[in-house]
Amino acid sequence: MKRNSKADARGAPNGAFARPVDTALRPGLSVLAVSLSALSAVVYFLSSNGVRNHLRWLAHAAWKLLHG
Amino acid sequence: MNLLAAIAVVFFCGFLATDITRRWLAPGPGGRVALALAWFVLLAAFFFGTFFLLGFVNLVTGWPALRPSLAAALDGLLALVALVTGRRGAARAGAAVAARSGFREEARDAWGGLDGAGRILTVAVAATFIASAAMLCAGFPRGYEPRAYHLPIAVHAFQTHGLRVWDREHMDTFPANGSLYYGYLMGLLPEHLVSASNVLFLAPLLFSLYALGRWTGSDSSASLVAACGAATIPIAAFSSLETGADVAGIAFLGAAAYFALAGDPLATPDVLLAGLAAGLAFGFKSLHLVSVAFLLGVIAIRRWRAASPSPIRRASGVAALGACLFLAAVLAMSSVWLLRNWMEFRNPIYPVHVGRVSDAFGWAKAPGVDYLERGAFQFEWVRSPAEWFVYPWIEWHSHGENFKHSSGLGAFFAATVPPALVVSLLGLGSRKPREREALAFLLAGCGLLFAVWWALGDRQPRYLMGGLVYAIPLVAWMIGQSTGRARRAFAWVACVTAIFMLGVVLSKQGFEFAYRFLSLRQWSRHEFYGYPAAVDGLPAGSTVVNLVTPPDNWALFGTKHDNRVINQRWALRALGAPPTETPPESVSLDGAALRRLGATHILALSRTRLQLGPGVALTEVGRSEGPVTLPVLYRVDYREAWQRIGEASTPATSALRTPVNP
Repeated sequence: MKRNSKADARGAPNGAFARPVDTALRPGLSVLAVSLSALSAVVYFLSSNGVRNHLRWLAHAAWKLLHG
Repeated sequence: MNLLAAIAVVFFCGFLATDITRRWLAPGPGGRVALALAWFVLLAAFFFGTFFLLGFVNLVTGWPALRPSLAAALDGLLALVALVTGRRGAARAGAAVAARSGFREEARDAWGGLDGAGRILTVAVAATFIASAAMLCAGFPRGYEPRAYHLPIAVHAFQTHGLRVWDREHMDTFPANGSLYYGYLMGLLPEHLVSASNVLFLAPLLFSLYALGRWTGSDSSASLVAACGAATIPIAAFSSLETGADVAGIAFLGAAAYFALAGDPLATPDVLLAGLAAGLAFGFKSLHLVSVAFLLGVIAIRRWRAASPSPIRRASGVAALGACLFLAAVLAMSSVWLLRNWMEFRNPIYPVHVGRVSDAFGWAKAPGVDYLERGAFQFEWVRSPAEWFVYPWIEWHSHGENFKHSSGLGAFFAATVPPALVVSLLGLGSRKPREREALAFLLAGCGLLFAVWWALGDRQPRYLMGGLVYAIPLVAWMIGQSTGRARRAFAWVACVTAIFMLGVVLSKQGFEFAYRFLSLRQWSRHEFYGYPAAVDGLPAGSTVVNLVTPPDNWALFGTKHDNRVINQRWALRALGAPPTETPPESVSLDGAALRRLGATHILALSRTRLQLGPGVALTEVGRSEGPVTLPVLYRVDYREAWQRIGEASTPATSALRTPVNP
């Protein structure tokens, strides 16, 4: 996502609005956040019963539709 | 329902909301966001407020006042007053035009700030829900709760022109804003369109999440990505595709949170809008009472702080006044339900009973319902209570229904919300007081809701849906903190996880559409719900006793919605059988009990053993088409004592004394 220009500079409700360039003073926090996020997504796809069951259901549903 | 009156209601409410927004809510620095949310809250407040007023008249006097024609007359009168006094607000019309152009500018900037991944996500969310809504319109309303009680209560309210409870089953006694909304729509639109009408509430929900994201200090594109991602969370996405009350509830809660947290704490309109929205949220889902209490505290604290240079006495007064204004607005939008339950059950928050607290007020307890002893319900989603702490990554479900209106948080939630909670905790050390305050309030909201949800024991994922209102802005803040590569990585994580979940939603909807309509060709209502076509041909006002399952309640109102229906649970209780979610094996039909219910017809499975009591005879008048155990519609004939002499030899009744399909 690109950084916003005019709207961000003008500010959020009540004029209290920080642009990404202002808040990115803590690069460590930013890297930590994105690492946690990516790790969490990987763990989710590996461990979720929902994903496994849905893929199984999808295969079954496709078979059911194709074979009446 | 008079179609013209129904159209007039929405027209006048729209006019009033627009007029007030233009005249009294001048756009400030964040006006473009606030005005759209304010308009939505005012529209709903006028719409529901009118019906509440008529419902109040009905409750107090017994007069059948809940009619769209009366609502149209009331709203029309208010609109006339607004029109006559309109000149005073003319000076602000120019400001409203400026706000509208600002709104377009905001949308342009949010879109312009997105990179490829963000744009794909935004378009995919819009396309998925438009396509899903279109598929829903081919069928009829779905969902367990909607068919079991939201929609039956909707039709019952407009049949009886009042807000008295449908029956005394505990789930039929909750506040019913959702039912009023659907009942009104049933008089305005075909049932096909009503089945997709809940999707509309996604728009204000996403808008309030976006606005809250902006309030945390996040930029427009990060807020947009977080809000769009929230729409892919299964409990929210699938709820929006059923005619339930959860999504509308959190949409209003989001608006309330926006005005309470981001609004000017000393501005009366903001406090009142927060209260109106919170009251409406409670009316859709009474569980939001916890958030109402939280937002009350937020308003008091923010007003105290805003007035804090003043002497402590004055600051206390300012805080107390704000709390009173908020509560007054909440009560304006919820008191009708509290009054109804007080009148009917001597407990305004019936069926909720909070142990000694309720006892101290003398509030009655619902028989057989104890919300503090429903701990076993959670084992549909987890195998042990500790598993809740890893539920976002495990998503186990006892019946394998991992993604539905009450199950699943999805990939976007797992990838963003837990990290956002951790990073926000670290962000509390920020040197910016405004940012610190925003994070603290949002984390407190998440924490309080989770703590109450945990303490109450009835742990179902969707009962925590209100927490999204506080958690998603934290996601927006977290994404907004990053720049460069980290930001691009965030965009792709959000895009991949959210689009995967959209795939889940679309594949389920697409399969159901293909299977039901293209394969089974269930185009008609009776085929869709699987009930005998004869139900649709019953004389208006016929009373059908449902002895199949609770969701069949809705089907039995027929295509014209002019049948009366006796709720399955209530019917079983009245006939002395234990309530059950599945079709009963056997039911004794007592003539006196059936007369009290006003039964003219009964729907039961062909395998259900119906034991006829004295004075009752049944005649089959229709059955569903299908191969196995089928719902059969019977006509109830009441016989006086002198008519019962040859009863045993009547073929219809003697056949029913034994199972039809043993």
